[in-house]
Amino acid sequence: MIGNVLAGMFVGGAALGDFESIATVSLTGSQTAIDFTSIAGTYQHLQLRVLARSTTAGTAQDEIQLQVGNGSIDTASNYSYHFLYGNGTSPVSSAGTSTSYVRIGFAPRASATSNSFSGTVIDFLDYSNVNKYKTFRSLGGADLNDTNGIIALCSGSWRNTAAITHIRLKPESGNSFPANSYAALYGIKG
Amino acid sequence: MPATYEPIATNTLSSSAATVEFTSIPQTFTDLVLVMNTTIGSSTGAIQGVINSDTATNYSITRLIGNGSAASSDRVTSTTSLFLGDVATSPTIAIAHFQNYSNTTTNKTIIARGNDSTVRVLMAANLWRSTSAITAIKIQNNAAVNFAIGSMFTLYGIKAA
Repeated sequence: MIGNVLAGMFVGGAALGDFESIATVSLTGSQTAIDFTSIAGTYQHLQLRVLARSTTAGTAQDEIQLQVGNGSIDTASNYSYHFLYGNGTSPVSSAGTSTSYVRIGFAPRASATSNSFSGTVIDFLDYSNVNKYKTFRSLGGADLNDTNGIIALCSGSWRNTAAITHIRLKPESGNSFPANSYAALYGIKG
Repeated sequence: MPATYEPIATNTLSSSAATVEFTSIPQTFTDLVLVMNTTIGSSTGAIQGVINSDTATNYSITRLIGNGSAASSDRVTSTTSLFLGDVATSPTIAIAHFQNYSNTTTNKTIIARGNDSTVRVLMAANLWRSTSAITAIKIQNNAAVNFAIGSMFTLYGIKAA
């Protein structure tokens, strides 16, 4: 159990050996989205560990958007989210309802501190259970420009009872994740 | 699929100590997770991290804090250590994630979440402005008081496929 607690999850009965790597996407060039497909339903939970940056111009932060689906990515307005972040000056909280994605994290834009990426750990609890909607949560943050930074807690919901077999991450505004961004998907057994 | 969440080293203090250091960290994992459950004999302060013995002003910190009555956020730029959590006379918990720690292309981002259950809950995004691989992490505090007997520090490695 301790391994899962340490990963930020509170899952009874599992051991360190029950945390397994499923797949990793490491970008060698810019890419508009990172997709994981055909995710087996053999785990109890999933964890996605992400390092990201955005090609969007500027020094502020882009949001990292999450979409999921069963058999394909659901791009309809079936999501909602809340987030709380600190920007070094004040706390900020907001939400979205009936959105086409979950705002699950933030990434430094193109003119942020060179070679700096946001770190985000996303948990998908009971992702293959077909009796309830799916809930996600994350902890993530980054230094933006040597003057500002961001640290965020995010959560979201996909209003669908289907098992999650597909996951997509993308920056806002149709921009791209640049080279050296990566996302690693892990499965946690029950 | 192979198990991928492995303990690298644990130090549970049998005598009080001002610092705890993990050295010669293997470069065979993708991420590191540092878990701390600590107390000190008096006072309160911050749990700080120093990477690869770098005590120059190569770190920056952005924090979000809730103390039971209000939330706040603050920031320190160009400082000499990471902020990993709180330390106090009551036990505190802190967990820090060092992602892609062994790559030599990017600066290192370290996100941490901690709590002093009697005072506040907090989280932090840290940047270490260096593209060097992380091979050593020293944990200290700024309370000028040793970590007490029983304080626990465990370093885990996570390896991606």
